[in-house]
Amino acid sequence: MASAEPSGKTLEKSPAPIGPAAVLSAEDRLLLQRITSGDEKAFLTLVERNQRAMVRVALSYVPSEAVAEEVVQEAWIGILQGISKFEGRCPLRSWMFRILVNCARMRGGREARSMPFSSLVPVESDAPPSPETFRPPEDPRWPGHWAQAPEPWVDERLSQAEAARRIRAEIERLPPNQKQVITLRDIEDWDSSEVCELLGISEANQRVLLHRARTRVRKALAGWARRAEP
Amino acid sequence: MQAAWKFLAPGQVAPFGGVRWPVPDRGAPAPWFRPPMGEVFACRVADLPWWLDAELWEVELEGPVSTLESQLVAPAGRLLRRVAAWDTSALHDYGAACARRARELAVQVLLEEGRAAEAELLANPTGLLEMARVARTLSADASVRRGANLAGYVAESATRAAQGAGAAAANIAANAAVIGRRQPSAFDLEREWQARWLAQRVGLPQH
Amino acid sequence: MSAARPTDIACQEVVDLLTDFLEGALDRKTRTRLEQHLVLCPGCTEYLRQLRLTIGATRRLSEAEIPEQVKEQLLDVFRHWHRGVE
Repeated sequence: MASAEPSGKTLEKSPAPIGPAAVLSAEDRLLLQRITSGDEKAFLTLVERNQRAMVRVALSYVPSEAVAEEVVQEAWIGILQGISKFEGRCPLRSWMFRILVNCARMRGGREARSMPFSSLVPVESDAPPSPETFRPPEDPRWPGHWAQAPEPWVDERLSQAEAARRIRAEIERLPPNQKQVITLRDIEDWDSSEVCELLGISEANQRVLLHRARTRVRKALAGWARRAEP
Repeated sequence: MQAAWKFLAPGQVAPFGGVRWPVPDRGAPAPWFRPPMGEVFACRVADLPWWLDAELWEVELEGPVSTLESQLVAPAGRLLRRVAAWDTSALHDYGAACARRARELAVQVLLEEGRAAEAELLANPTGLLEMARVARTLSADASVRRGANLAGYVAESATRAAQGAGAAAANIAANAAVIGRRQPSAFDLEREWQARWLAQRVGLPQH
Repeated sequence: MSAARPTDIACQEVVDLLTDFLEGALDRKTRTRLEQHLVLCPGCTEYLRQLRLTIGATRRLSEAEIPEQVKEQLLDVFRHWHRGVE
């Protein structure tokens, strides 16, 4: 895990109090009841909310997407088998992902030798890197200020499919910890406390990873987003 | 009741939180705005230079009102009326006025350094872009000569002013004042001048 | 010799603090300094805008569909489990 110390300018959020937010929600309890009674739509709802994140998390333990999907399927079996015993003393997602992580760890041990697929993907040569730079410490007037400020973006570019492709490609190239954090926070919209709990890191460390990941994704987009023509 | 003012982004949007403030309707004050964060911020006249944005409003704050270093803070506020005189042309003129003040200071320092020809060159231009161009040519020895360093500030301030970035121009000018007058308090004094300029331009009571 | 006041933050530091800023994790003093910097720095204002656009565009990746085949496989798993439970 990245070991970054908080800068002294940040606050650690006080630990969440034991209360409704820390246990199974009423909505999730209802969903589980429907699943237990065989309601396929309810099950698919749970799948749609979590499948992508589960594959992403599994990928940090196993070498390929194909293996990750198998692991996730095993986890679903484990989840269904465990529902009747789940007492709801923690949120549904925490419980589900604990099962997933156990499956992934067991499987990951067996497959540890193969090369992770993503490491074989060559780094794309992109548009020329944007010349954003800062003034050096010796600058007479503005040390640390922009020497060459970021060029403005053409907003419409961000909603095009190519932007999504570039974001996805850059996320794939991130170190595993950054990839997990940005996926769970920015794609899957998890709370920071959920991410910290799953990954076993502090809020401050999580923010550092998120910051590094977002910085890289932004930079990867800059070459595309600042031009008006394709 | 303390007079207070607030800068908002276009559309009565809080500049950093992004939430919209409710607006007054037909002369009546707007409904009270109590954001989830539990705090609203506002300016005294002296604080205005720090918080420039597209729209300026007169606001009323609900107590207790605390005074921070450069703003007032209270649990709630409401918009009373828009200060119509604050618009893009006022922002432009503000930046220009600040850049010109920086230029006056640079001219003075160049004269003190015995560089009369350079002082005259810099004093000449009326337009901002020309002022920036000339100032830039005089800024070559900025790391060793105070006058050249100040010319550098003038070039930057005038360029920002010409771009309509009045707040940037003003900040550069305030920093220049520290170098020009050789005292840290010159920054705050320059900000006070800027606040008075703003208040006078848009017709705010000063006290 | 730096002319900017010691309490001013420079752009390089602002950029480093932006995630903390967006997460609401800065102490009040630092947050105020950062906000004041944004008022007078078009470069950092644009950078923050771009960061927000990036986050928004990243969020839209969640609209990617789960492949039908995967859903079908999981439904098989579900039906098999439910039959065993009954």
